[in-house]
Amino acid sequence: MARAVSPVVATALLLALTVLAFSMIWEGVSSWISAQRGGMLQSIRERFVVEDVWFRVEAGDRTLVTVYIRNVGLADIEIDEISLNGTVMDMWVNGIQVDSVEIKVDAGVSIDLRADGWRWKPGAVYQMVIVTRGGVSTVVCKP
Amino acid sequence: MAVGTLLAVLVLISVTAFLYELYTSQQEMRLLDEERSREKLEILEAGFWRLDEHTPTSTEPAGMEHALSRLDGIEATFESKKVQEGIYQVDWVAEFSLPSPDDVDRLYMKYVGVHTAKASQEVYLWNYTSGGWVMIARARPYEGYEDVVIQVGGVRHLIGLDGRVKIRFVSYADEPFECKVDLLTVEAYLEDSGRVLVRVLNDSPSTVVIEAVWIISAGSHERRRINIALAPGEEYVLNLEAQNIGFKCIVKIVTRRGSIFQVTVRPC
Repeated sequence: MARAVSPVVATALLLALTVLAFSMIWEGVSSWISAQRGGMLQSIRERFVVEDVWFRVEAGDRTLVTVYIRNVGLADIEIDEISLNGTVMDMWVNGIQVDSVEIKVDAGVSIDLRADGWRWKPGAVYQMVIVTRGGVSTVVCKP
Repeated sequence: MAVGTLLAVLVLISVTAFLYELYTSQQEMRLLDEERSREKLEILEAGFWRLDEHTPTSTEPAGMEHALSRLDGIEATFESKKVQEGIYQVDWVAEFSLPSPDDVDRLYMKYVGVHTAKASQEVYLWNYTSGGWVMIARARPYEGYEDVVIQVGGVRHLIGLDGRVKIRFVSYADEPFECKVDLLTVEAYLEDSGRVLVRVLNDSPSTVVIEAVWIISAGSHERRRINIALAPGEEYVLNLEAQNIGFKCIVKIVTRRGSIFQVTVRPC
């Protein structure tokens, strides 16, 4: 005949099981909240304005586009990618090539966009797609 | 059981706190978006002008020019005289001296004053060609505070060869009164290819902050931080240096909330 566990051991086991179960739930809830903060909350609080787009020609007859973006939202933004009519552009800030551009609330940044072998055409219409952590925005512009 | 309840409450609190943060963020952004959509800056005029402000050099009766030159509560007081039975009149003149009379495109007279009784008011400028007064404005009878800006175009005959401008105010009432004037200045718009003037009006129900102005020409895109707050209904003149602009330029006015208003400026 099997012997029953003592009430003390049973309580300890139940306690351990409860803590384990809730720590798993807690972990799940925390990571869900954290993900929502980075995604949903960021996209709600993110607003920026493209103040100016300048299609330019630089030395050596190379072309570039300079875009000035200002953060008018409630959260810092990080620009991960900018493309023009599907061409992903290299981003340069103050003469240095960068992978992403962070813009603090109320601040603005001038970004030079270049791509190897890419030239803008006078009169053409360009769709500028700006990818941030909070989502994707599109601006239509032309030289 | 107690431990389980405690842990459940902890989870509930953190989820509730997050949902509250989500809700408040949504409300804040909704408000921000609404305010942005209501922002309206009306561009009243834009051109290659320079704006010079002038204060009176002399007055008749004499010695009031300093009181008129600043909005500071120090007023020039002109007392009425009986001109007919039951008609009392205040009649005074201020003179200005403009340094570049040939370049003046138009004049703006700024007047801030008080009638101590209900009185009508007429404003005249001296015509140097015909040698007589020309009425440029007439105010309906008012008592108390009056703050007006009078625009005068076609100023060629109204400015003397030496740059003198004479302005006369005549007020009438059917009882003795005083005309107390705190400010009288003349703004002269001068044609100037090196400056851009943009007069804007906040036509929205809330305060608009002009964050920056872009001056865009064929060879440059220049951003200038401005940071000027305009109350609803308030006008403001942006007078910007604009060297090497060429034939025309685009001026973009950017507000703090992110609205953009633009105008193309061409030579007059």
